[in-house]
Amino acid sequence: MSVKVEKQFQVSAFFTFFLIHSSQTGIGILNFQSQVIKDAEQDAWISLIITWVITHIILYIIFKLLDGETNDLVAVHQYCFGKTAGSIMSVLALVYFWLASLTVLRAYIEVIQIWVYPTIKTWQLCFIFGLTFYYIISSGFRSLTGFSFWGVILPAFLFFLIYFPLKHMNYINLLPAFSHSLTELFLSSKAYALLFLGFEWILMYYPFIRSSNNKDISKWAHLGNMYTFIIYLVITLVSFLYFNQDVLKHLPWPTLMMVKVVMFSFLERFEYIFVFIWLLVIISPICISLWVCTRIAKRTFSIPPKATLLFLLIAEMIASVNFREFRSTDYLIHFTANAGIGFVYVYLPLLLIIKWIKNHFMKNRLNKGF
Amino acid sequence: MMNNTFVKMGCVILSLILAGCVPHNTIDEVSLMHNIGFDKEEEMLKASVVYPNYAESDNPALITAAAENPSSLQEELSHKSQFPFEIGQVRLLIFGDKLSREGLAPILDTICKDPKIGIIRIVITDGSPDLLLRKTLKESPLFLMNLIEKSIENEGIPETDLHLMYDQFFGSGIDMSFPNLTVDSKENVKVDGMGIFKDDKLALRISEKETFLLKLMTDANKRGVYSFNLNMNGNKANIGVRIISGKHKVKFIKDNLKEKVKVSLNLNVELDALPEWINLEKEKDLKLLKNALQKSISTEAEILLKKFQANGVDPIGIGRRYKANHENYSELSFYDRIYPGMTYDADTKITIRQTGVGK
Repeated sequence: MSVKVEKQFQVSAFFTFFLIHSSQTGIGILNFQSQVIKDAEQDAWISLIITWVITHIILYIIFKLLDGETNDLVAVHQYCFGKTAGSIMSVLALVYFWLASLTVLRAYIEVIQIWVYPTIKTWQLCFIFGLTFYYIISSGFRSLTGFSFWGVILPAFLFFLIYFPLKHMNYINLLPAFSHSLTELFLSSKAYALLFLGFEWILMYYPFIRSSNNKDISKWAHLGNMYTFIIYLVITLVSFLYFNQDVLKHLPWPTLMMVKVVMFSFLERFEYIFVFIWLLVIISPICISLWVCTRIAKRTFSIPPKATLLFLLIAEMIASVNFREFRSTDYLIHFTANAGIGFVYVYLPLLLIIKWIKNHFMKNRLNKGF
Repeated sequence: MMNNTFVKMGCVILSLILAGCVPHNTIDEVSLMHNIGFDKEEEMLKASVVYPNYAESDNPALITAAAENPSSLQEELSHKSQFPFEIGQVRLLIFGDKLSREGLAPILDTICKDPKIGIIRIVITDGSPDLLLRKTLKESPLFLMNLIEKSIENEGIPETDLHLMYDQFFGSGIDMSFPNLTVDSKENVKVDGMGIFKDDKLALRISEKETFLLKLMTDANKRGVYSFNLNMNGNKANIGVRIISGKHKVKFIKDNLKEKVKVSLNLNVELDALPEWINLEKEKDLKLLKNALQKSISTEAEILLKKFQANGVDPIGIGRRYKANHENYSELSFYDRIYPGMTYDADTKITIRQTGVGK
């Protein structure tokens, strides 16, 4: 059942770091603050630590799922549920992955429409982005990896911008600390889970990573997740120090509002540049998830990837044009977040249990056979 | 294979070319607003806008318009100009006296929602902004912004900008305060004191000296000149000392069931011109001068704090400090019950850093 990928299509284990990190950072980082402070308020950074630890456990579960003969999600599904039921589950996963890519694209277009070009039409942006995505994805997994590498390295300098809001920080905004109940902390960590989604795509591109042993890949994957956590922690703390909790409740895009304070003598409004540099960041999650969709289609039904890609891209363009009302993007994000949390944090652990039970029965049957 | 490369190249070239089709604005064909003044006039909102009129002359031009809500105000303004108004380059927002008294919330809420606006300075005036802006028409369009900027930097006016406005307007446990611009008897524009708000309504105006004391208790930058009356060895004089830097601290002490606010100020000062009957080389004179200065700042700070308390405003953010130490804080009960009963104690420590080059 296991998939063998030719060596010329594989990337080395080191790139797992960039693939994991770049598929996690999307649009959520621009506006997560108003969601996460709903319950835990100034203690939300504790919730972030909770989510981070749980995500490491899920990564461990994913590598346990991919152990041995079943080295991608489709194989796991067929092993656990058989051919037909397994295919149905894989198609459901495909739909979720497609939704994830649609959400990032639509949310980014919304950011451009709100912040920079209020009059630009959705289909115009969709068309230009669609061409870019088709180019990147159709070039194969190796160029996708290359892109996610540069998508992490190039925007990394944005990190130094935290110097500007830090000049105006007030530690009093983080006080009183530790004043929230466990329930509130967990509700906030559920809101944080959306930010970490995306690493589960390794379920499909795992066979494309070349490595002498399993441990090497999981090491880089865990490091990637750790790097994501560090960035989120810094942004959470800086925005809490910069904005009062009551102000955060009123700002729909706190990270961009924070970039507003960045001022150079030659450049007064950095947020416009920030929004466009962010395109580099969001291209990776959109492209990786679409590539994963084509991969699922190929593995389950042997459909050629180009055909699926074209179909999925056009479907994505049509779908994003049809989100017209400003609330509808919120609903989409909300829906995808819940689907993702269900898939990653509930379904994957269940799948591992099913796999273990199945392993147990298979062993028994083998033992009886001999 | 040939076909495939062609498609890919086509994708790249098309997306590059199409990226040029975004909407654009030519700098000569928009009116960039630099200063906006808002006021109320006969139940209508009135805006006065100063913008550089490059197409016709070197001097900035002023346009006023009135409308019932802030959104249609911008359109009303554009009706009177040949180019569309752009709000992105606004540097200064001025609120007139009448509007300040009736409440700024409708304007502040719309500004907050406009992503185009940058980190702007916000001030109030005790007359009408229209008059104030008219006085500055002969100057460069950025005159008022530079005036405010350097006053904040060196002349004892507390920091004021959009970020702080959010913090004070939406945040609990602190009240808004903006510097006040006025036109003096010689028809010059000058910075004069401050206006303290309760919610979104102007509640109290404070003098220039009180403004500097407020800056000492709130800002990290404490540059400015403090003047006081010195009465020593039978001689009297009014002395100005320049404060270079310093630190402030606000603490709560339980004092007979009442909360006591202890404000400690640590200030580094520079003395330049002293009357000749003070000899700083003498230990006794130096000590007397220091004590007199410390006492003067402490007493005036206490008086100012009591003035804020009597008027029910809290520009220092005592409520916010209180919230940091008390989990069951509620803004309403704090200002209803605890704040009016608070007592104050200000404590100043002066370090004389420099005495100038003269003797």
